[in-house]
Amino acid sequence: MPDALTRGVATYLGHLHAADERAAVDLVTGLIDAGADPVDVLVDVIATAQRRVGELWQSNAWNVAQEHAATHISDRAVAAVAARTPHATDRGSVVVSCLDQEFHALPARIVAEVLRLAGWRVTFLGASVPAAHLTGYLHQHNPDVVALSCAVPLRLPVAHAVVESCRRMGTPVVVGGRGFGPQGRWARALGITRWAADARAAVTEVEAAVVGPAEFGGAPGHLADDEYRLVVKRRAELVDAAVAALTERFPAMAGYSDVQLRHTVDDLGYIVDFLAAAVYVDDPELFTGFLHWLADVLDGRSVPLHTVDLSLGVYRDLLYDFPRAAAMMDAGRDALRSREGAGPARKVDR
Amino acid sequence: MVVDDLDPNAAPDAPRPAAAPPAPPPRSVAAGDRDGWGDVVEALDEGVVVVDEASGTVAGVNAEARDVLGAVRVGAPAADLGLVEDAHGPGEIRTGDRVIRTRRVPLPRGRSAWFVRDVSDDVRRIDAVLAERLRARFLADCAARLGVLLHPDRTAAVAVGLAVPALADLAVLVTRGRRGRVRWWRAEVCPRPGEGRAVVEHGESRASALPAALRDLIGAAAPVPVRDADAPALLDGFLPAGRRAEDVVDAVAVALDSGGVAPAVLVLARYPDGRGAFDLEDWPTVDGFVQRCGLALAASATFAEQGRMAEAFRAHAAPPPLPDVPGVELGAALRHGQDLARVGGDFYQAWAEPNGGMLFAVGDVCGKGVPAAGLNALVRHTLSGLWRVERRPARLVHLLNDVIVEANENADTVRFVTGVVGRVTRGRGGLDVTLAGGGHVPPLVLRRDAAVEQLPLAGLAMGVTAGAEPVEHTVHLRPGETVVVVSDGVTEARGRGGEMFGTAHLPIELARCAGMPAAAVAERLEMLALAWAGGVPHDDVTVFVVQAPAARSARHLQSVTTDSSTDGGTDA
Repeated sequence: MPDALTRGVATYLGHLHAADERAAVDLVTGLIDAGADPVDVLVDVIATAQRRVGELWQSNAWNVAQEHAATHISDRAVAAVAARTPHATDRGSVVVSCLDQEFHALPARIVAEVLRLAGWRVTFLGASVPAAHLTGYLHQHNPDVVALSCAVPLRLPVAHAVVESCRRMGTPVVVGGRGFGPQGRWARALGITRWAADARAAVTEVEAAVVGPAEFGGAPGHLADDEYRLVVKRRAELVDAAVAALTERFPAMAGYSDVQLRHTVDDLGYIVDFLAAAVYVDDPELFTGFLHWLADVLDGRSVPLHTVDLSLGVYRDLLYDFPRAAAMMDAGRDALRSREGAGPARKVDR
Repeated sequence: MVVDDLDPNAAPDAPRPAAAPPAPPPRSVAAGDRDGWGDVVEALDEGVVVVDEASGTVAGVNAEARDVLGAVRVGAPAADLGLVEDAHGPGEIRTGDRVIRTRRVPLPRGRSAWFVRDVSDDVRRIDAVLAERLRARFLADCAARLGVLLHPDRTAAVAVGLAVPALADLAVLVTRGRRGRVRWWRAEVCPRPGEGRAVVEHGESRASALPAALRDLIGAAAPVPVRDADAPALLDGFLPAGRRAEDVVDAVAVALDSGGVAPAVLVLARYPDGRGAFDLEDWPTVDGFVQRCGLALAASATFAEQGRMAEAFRAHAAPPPLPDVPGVELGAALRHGQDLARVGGDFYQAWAEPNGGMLFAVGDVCGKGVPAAGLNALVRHTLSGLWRVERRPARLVHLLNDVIVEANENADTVRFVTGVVGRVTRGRGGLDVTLAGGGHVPPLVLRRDAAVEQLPLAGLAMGVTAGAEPVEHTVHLRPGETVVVVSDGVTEARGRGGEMFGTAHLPIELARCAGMPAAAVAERLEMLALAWAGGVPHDDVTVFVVQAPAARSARHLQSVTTDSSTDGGTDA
């Protein structure tokens, strides 16, 4: 990366920290006026800085307000880069969409702009697009390609359903986002071959998708055991049991505020959601990866890790007749125990 | 239709292989009729020819064999009969549409018995059943693939793709376009070896350039298929690059019956290296395919027409962009609920006053979808006119109420509207916001120290009774402070346990937004309400934010105290 861009990241991050929209926008437009490639500015400055923002939030160095304001400002910065850069639009149409309940729209927005700079006519549907709205869009506008972003692996079952439905409509799909795992391993697990590692790769994949053969998938074979469906169905029961066990073992919980209690319930629900996603793609790594991330977040907030271990034990007992889910619980508990005594929390770059 | 994968050995009535031991030991047909066996053999419905292997001549033959093979003379060379044996079992003699199955059994004393049977009828029946099965599978697949499509272009592209290579080597679908043009889709088997799939291309041309036969067929009242003796003429102008007219051995053109909704014609053509001309047995498949394509095109065209209408209405009902107002920061978010048409009862709009300051309205028409959106447009258009002559929020609510009451008197369904009208003026180093409400969710104020206040805006929903006199309330915003108006889609968003986002969680979450730019506050509250509702909210979600700009150096989010350091949450 050229020095100007490397320096740009640090300065840009400073502007985000000060929530200074004008300075942030001036910085990126200044880089472009000085001759920087707009794709480099989008990917190597804005996206890189935003990744750092995520880490700062995760380690509790930044609060939610800062993180959200930074994302908002970066969104404006992306718009400013787009507005400043002329480009042809002669290569067909792409619709870029986030999944339902996916509110991390900025990475997809950057992909949208990079595709636009590569000459595609791009429609960005924004954050949290219900499947019905995407389907409606395809019926209405018939884009050449759908680019689908999945930021969190717990949305993988939904992502898979959306991909299948696009394929049935004859529209090729390119997927991307951290939700598909390292090197897109969970895209492959679900029979999705067109996975893009980043915005630049998305351009290549979209080009290939237009001319490539139609793809048909279907449900992965391991879903025949019905464990995924049943774990999802028992979510509330599992969370209730974990709350009861925690209340009994940790008297401090009785003094939790409503907000604290809600966050605890949310966390317990996330554990079940990630377990379900791991069962769906049949990869314990998905579950243990989430637990490492959760452990880092809880470390940052000084929540003791053995509360998580206790909850996993409760889930493990209730899911005794679910071989795959139970094995994932065991893998999860092993992963957490291996952290204890390993010194300060390691930062997982996710 | 010729079925390629027909395996005679797979047929249910396939004879046993020759290796099976014949029993009882055969007696000689030619050796006389000592036990009357000659009569039995003569009466068999399976043909029998006995061949003397040493001389290679026919030693005996029964009536059925003469029937099946024609005149067979005892003593004639057996080779003339063309009897064949397959390495794995019975052989077959095919002449024209006749199929004769032949099976050799060695006999003692250097002789062989050939059993011959005319299986033409059996083969025809099996062919027909297999052909029917393939046809049913193909047509079911077509229906499934076409049935999920609602965009006319996609439907056309998939339709031609389905025809190749199943029905033809080249398929062209032509639809009537606008202004004397036609649009076409062409599918051909992928020229790259090993890839059996179709490659689909799309283009447009002048209708006058169409071959005459096709021009007549598009939109023909009583469509009948055209089999032009001069097949290439049907494809004039549509042949792919590298293909010449003489490459087409046969072509058929047929109009798609879409009930007049989407006039189109389909041309199917075959190349010599393919499977030759179309025959009668192809017709039921072609006919079934064409019917399904016609239905799919009709459905797509109808949907597209309605979609265009909905789009026009949506553009009309959607909130216009926020104006730039010097000294005022605005943010807004609106997410429609479950309605697929993506229109609804919630609305917001802001108007910049020519001499500084601005007016805004945020509201919610009771009901959902298109009917609610109709009244929402009336309200916004009314205000768009009214604010030019009246800028006091209480008066505007009063007048608006009267307009809605009057609209209700003339409507089948009485609808109420809740809303807030506000006027923003600059003053005392910040902004003064004067508000008047009609039964809406009370606005919230976010102070610099993250304190959240609720504004007491009383008032009845608009449209209930004429002559309402709402009370105005003015709030002063210092730099960085914010007024937030939400709709009940935010406060009444229901979470997993049925708990509402509203009165308890909204103020807590708003407090955590202290220091955010106005637009980010709107986005964040929208996101939280949607996340709370699990994605698709039951009702429209609207957030409207007015903020007094913070001094640039004063924006220090990290100095804001929130409970985030103690809550153990992972909510971002």
